[in-house]
Amino acid sequence: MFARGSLMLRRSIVVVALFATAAGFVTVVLYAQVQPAAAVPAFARQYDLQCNACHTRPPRLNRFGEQFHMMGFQIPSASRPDGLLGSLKEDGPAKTLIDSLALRVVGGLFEYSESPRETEAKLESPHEVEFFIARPITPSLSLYAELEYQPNGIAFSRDRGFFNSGHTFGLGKEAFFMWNMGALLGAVGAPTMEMGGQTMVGRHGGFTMHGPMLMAGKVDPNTNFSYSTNRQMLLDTELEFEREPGKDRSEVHRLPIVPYAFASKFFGLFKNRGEREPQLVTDLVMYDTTGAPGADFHAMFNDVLLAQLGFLSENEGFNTYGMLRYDLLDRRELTFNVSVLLNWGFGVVRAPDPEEHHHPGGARLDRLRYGIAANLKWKALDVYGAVIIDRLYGLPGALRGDFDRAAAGLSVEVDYLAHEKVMLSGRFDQLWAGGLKDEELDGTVLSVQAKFYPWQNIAFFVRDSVNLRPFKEDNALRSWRNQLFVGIDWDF
Amino acid sequence: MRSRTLALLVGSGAFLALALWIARPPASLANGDKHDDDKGGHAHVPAPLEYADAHVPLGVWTDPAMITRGKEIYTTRCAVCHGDAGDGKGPAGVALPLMPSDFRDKAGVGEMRDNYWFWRVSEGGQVEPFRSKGSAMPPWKGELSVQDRWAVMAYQHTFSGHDGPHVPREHPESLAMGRDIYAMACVGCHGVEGRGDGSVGPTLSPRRAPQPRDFTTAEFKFRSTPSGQLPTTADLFRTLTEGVRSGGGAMTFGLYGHRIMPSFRHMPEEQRLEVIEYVKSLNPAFRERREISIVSIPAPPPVTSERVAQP
Ligand code: HEC
Ligand code: HEC
Repeated sequence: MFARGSLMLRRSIVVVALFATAAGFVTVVLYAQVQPAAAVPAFARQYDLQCNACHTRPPRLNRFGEQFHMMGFQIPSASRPDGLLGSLKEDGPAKTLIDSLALRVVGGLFEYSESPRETEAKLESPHEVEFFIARPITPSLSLYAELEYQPNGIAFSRDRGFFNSGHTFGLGKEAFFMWNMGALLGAVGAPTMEMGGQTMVGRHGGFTMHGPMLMAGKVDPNTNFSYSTNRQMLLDTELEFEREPGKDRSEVHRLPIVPYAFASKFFGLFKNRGEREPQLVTDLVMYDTTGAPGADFHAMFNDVLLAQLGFLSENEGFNTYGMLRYDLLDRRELTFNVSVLLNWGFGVVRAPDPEEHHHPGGARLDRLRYGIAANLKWKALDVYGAVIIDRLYGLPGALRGDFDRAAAGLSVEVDYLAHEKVMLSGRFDQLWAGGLKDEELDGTVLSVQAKFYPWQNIAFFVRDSVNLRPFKEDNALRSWRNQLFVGIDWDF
Repeated sequence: MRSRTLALLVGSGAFLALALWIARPPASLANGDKHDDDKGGHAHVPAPLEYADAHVPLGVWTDPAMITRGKEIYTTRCAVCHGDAGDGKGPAGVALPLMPSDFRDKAGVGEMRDNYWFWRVSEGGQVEPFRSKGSAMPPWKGELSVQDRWAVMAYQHTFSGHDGPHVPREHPESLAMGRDIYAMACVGCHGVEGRGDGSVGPTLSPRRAPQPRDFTTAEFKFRSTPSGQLPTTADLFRTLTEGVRSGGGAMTFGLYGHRIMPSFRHMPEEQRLEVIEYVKSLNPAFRERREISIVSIPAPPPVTSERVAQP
């Protein structure tokens, strides 16, 4: 297992990987041939559209897909007038039901990682299987829910630390309804127009506003941001932890690789008091919540300015935030937009105990988070990046000297559709960490990936991430040098 | 605790949404047209497909001979109702339940597209939505030749005080609705200027599938007209309604026949006509061509759900 740099092992890894890929491939081919019509996700089926009409390549959205999402999962200006009832009448209950469901399987067939001192190989079952229910109910109301099955769910408990909770099944990242409130504004006197069954505020040829759309439930509002984390080509990796023999509690062995701009960025914080769950530096928090209970409003003005406002719970506190996106350019196969985000989190994290840093203390901290993001799509190129700065408030006096209360992160991703079946991606992540000064450590990671789409809804990927900073054995952010993944991303 | 908050939030939100949906306010103005009100009834709805291609040649509007000829016709046939000054206050007009519109209203005339105008002069008040509003406007297609109708329109146009040709370029308001729909639903693929250069095209399926149409060239694919000619408005309308299916191919394996351009069949018909009028305005050739015989109803080619895009 720990044979240092063993060539034999490495070679067998490659063989296994190739074999697994080939086997997966064959299964896919067989499946697709048996049931070609079913091999597209819910919306594609509902609207009888190719995936690529909305996605540059799944899961990334193109301009039309963004518009589709913004309108509450409806073809802009052409929502079905009688909504769900219409589909039931026209397509019958069975097709309506099937067309509302979708499945996404993401798995690392294989994972391989190397530090200066170890080479480790392990075969992994799929990370997660997500099950979606998505459907417009009326022209101005739609539903979206995600159920998640994780064969190797990770949980945290006060006594055991992180542990493998085995098969977990539950509400996934998001579950919300989206409601167009245009008609409501019309009822209180705003001028409105009916645009393909949807009410829009304004006058043709003059000021127009689409929405406001209310998303409420468990939401991840960042799809509207220039850097949309739930639509990236490079998936987040998994947390790794270990329990040394004889010890009760596990230790975090390696932190996941995530877009650092959106990470929580501070060392030594806690999510809550009772469970003492640490807020990991790489935990994704506002505005990349991976789904939190709350309400989000967004509206688009004159087709160029998108404004967003929301309230989301986080740990023991809650967030308020506002975002503006300006679509500066849209011509000659080029779109360019810029967004700014401002977020204030009330009591969203807990400071460590000033005496005993490994325990949560009495102080809940406020967090100011602000940042800017931009996205440029030009021909086959898609570039998006974000810089996000965090600052904590309410730190106990006794902790001031030991704690750095400012942090920042930068993430830039470039996707290039080199061939219609091959998407090449690269992402650079830089973390200027904050938090307890004796643990605090910056991180820099470069990831590259090649994703092969034999069909629009199935992709195989090979991805490698490199830690560009010196290896640090005792810090989970940098206790690795290189990580290689071979995986599959499959949408039904 | 967490999940209870969530349930509460979702529940109350859903309830609110349901309540509001049930108590939905009455649909607002269908096309935001300020002339579409109860007393006027001059809803400047899009001309039906039979008349949609009946554009008036550009020169007609400003041709003095045409205007003189139009004045004669107007004085003898229209002034009774529409008034000598075009104000709708002719002796027979004032008594009508639905008064003729005031042609001195520049904005109102600006909203009226030429094919609508020609349709109204031809069919009068016999067509919907004017018929049910009790319109007394007579149809003239039996009595006035096409040229005569153009002439009288050219003269009527002079009341508005506008001296250029009556084309969308001069009256952007006549396309405002179509432009808004286009900006929302078509720009991503067909591009701001309709050149087929929206940002979606290059990734739609770059080498195999067809690219979104460049509306400004003469090349169109889904036509009932001979090759080399522009499609009829009815052809464009049909494409918009049905969408365009992919031709399959290796890339689309398993998705054979799914659309690369969505079907906009759920868009109200009137709005589909509006957006098509806007699309036509992007290419001047649509109003310059004369090969389409006016007021012929093009026989629709068989409605094929299999209209498939070939690379
Ligand atoms: C018997 C009375 C009468 C006569 C004669 C008449 N009209 Fe009209 N016209 C109306 C009325 C009433 C309306 C308004 C109702 C409607 O739009 O149908 C109208 C509407 C119109 C409109 C539509 C205007 C708009 O804003 O939508 C046009 C164009 C028009 N007339 C042209 C003519 C022309 C040209 C003539 C002569 C060749 C003519 N009319 C003769 C009564 C008349
Ligand atoms: C997702 C991309 C997409 C969107 C959105 C889209 N189109 Fe298209 N459209 C296409 C493609 C691709 C073609 C060309 C198909 C071909 O060449 O076979 C096309 C072709 C057409 C044509 C056919 C021209 C011909 O050759 O006869 C018309 C008309 C048209 N589009 C109108 C529209 C309008 C109007 C809208 C907005 C309401 C719209 N399209 C939205 C992708 C799109």
